[in-house]
Amino acid sequence: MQKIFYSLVAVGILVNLFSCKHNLQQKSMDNGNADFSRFVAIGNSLTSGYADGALSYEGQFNSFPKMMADQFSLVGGGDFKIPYMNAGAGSDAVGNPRYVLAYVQPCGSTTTTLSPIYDPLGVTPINNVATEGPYNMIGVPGARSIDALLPMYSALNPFLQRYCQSPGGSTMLTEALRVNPSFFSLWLGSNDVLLYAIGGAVPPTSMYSPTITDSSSVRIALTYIVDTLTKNGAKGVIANIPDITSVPYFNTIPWNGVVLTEGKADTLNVTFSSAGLSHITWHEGSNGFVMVDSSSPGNMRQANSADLILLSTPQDSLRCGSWGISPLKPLKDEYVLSIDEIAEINEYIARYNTSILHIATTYKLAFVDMKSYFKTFKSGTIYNGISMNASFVSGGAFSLDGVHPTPRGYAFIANEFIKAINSTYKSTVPYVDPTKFNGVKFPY
Amino acid sequence: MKKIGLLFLFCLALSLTQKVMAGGFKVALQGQKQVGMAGTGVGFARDGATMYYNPGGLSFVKQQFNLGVSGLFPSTGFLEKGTNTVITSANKMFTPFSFYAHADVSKRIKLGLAMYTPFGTGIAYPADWSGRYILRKIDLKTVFIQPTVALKVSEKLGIGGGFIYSTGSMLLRKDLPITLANDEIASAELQGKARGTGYNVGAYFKANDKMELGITYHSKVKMKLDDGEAVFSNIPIGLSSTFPENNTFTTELNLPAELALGFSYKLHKGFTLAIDFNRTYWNSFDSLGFDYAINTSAVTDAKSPRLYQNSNCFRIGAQINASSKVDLRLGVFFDQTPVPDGYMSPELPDNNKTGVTFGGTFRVDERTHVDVSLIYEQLPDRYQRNKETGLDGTFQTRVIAPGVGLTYLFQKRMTKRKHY
Repeated sequence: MQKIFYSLVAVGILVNLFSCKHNLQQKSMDNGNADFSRFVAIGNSLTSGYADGALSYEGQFNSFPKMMADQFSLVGGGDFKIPYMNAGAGSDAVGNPRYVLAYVQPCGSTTTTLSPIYDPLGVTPINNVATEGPYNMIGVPGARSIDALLPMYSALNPFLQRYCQSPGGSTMLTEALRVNPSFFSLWLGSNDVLLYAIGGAVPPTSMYSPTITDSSSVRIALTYIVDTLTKNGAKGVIANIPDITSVPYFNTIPWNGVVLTEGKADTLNVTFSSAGLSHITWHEGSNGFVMVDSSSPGNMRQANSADLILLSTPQDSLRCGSWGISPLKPLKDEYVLSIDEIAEINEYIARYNTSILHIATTYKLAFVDMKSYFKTFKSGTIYNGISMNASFVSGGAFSLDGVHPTPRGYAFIANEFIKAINSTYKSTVPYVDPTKFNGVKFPY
Repeated sequence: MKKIGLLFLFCLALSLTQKVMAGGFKVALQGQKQVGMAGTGVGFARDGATMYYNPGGLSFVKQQFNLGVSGLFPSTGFLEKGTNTVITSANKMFTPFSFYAHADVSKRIKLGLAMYTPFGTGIAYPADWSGRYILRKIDLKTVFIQPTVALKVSEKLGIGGGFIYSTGSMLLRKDLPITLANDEIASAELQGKARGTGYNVGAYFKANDKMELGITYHSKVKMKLDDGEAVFSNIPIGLSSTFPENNTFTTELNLPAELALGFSYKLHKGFTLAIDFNRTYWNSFDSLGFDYAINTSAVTDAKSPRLYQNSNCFRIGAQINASSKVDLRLGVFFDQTPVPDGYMSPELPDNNKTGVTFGGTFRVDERTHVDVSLIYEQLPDRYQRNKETGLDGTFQTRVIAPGVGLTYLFQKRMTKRKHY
């Protein structure tokens, strides 16, 4: 009797304790009605893994399409070939490596502070890897939607030229078709307006100056790409364009960054009124920078809360070069977006996004609302105890160029894509773990 | 026949329970005999552990000495929502212990000393788990020391009480979302010792030869931790003013009060059933916060909400006097979690639980007994999204706790039917 009792008890416990380790596994991982065996990612710098102002091996390795491909490999995904740069600090194609944080002593200061500098490792020469193609990653930094169809573009853009089959003959689309894609991600269109915005929305001075692409051209280009890919049998996911004012590039330098004592304000008032600029007045505390504005007396006015001062503004010139506080040195147009320019940019983004949503619906693609998602960065979010926002450096989501995400930011983007794919194609692709990826790296 | 029936019920209970300790970070392992009967003991005074379960009942327990220790092996698994990787916490063994000794001072008065470990928790998660910025490791221990006096008011009624002096230690470790250029990650560790005081009172009533009842009140114990160490590691020099070295902190942890009612009934010669009800006033634990000596933008005194709720526990245990040398025990308990939805955190992946217990006493000689016990609990999987940290996933916890104890009677038993 006793023996039976004890043996039953013992068996019960052993079975419970050892036979099933924590049996919490997701019920199934499934590709649903999508085929991830030949996945191709088409896009611009955001797709390429561009970060900290350059394309580097590390950035490509932490790109969101690579993260997605890693997750796809659990549900029948195939090889995802990336045209890797050589290891190093990368390149921005005009001779500079990525930024890193370093301790620097700003002009006029006796203490060191953390600030982005070019990586002392130096620029990584752009290698040509065309012979090892075709590639699954067609993320081309700088590419606009209309560039994806231009054969000439593969000769002009060094980031595409380095791996395309025939520079001047290939297009981003023909490169993508080389892998006969069964699934694609398409996130293009940001640069059709972003390049213009990053340049301060200045009127074009040459044919190479960034302009805003006409919205019908964007619609036609994106429709053609999707039509071609889907005719070839592929399914896919398309993302819309984030509101550019969500990123730190446009939000880091405060419009009223001129902090004055009463004495200094009095001195400036005298200077400006004697220069015939009495509409510009100064007071103790925070004041708006003086900026160029052709519609104001003397072609300048003070910035107000609707103006965005760009991160490209040389900080030492603001600090020690009297930029923005001298009648001789108003901030140039290229460093400021005014309320009208912002409205123009947002208007175009809205038009592009209407087209993108229309394409997604027409071709039954999974749709990622990146415009809304980037807003969550701007308002701040918490993930597993990590708080993130769109603040430069401390926010953790955006890299040191103020536009492109950090690896952790890209991981969240990958998960937004996966979420959209799972809901459209009834798949259960597991999410990426963003805590495995870093935010901004700090020097010790 | 009865025994077979009971056995059947027991195996059924075992197969029905999914997972099994007491709610919150209470550790219900205060006496080996009581543990074997699902932790009942308020209305069934058997040994020195009655000083914990019901100091009033001590009036009816022979002078003796009891020592017990359990090995507590918890195992927690976590599956983050939408992912496919299950992590398992490091198996960390704890050894809750108890010590009781008491002697007659007069015919009506007994004096005793109790030492036990009623609260504690400990979990170490893998270094790269996705909640590393919330918690890597927690280790919370308490030891209560309780001098006790019991007064036999009449042959049927006993009352008793004890003063509690409590000592404890706390260790918390988590990573900070700051990555160094060499890929090392910053971390924070809080460590310190705490103390507090409280009391434990109870009344015990022997209604007749078969039925006994009791009521006990365990007071709240406010543990005060002064001069704890806050150590931040791998902090970039540029952020050293935000995470100052050699910081200290103070904190308070309110260990909850508990009201316990118990009842036992001798159904048959050699077969006793005991039922306990516990209500634990967990609402004393509404937040966890640290008051740092040096505050910065990142090191603030902000409190993290816990909002624990008062919880109930039902315990049913049985004792079978199998032979003159052997007693067998079993029990089942149902314990409500105090952790509300939206506030579950990795420091205590709690849930409502069902536990089964087994126990036995082997009388080596007239005075020396060896007690054994075993608890097995499995908590049903609990899916939660924490409102503060955003941690979103399912926790699964199992606990197994075998224990062993020694009883030594200071005088020979007069009759076999008396309590020992």
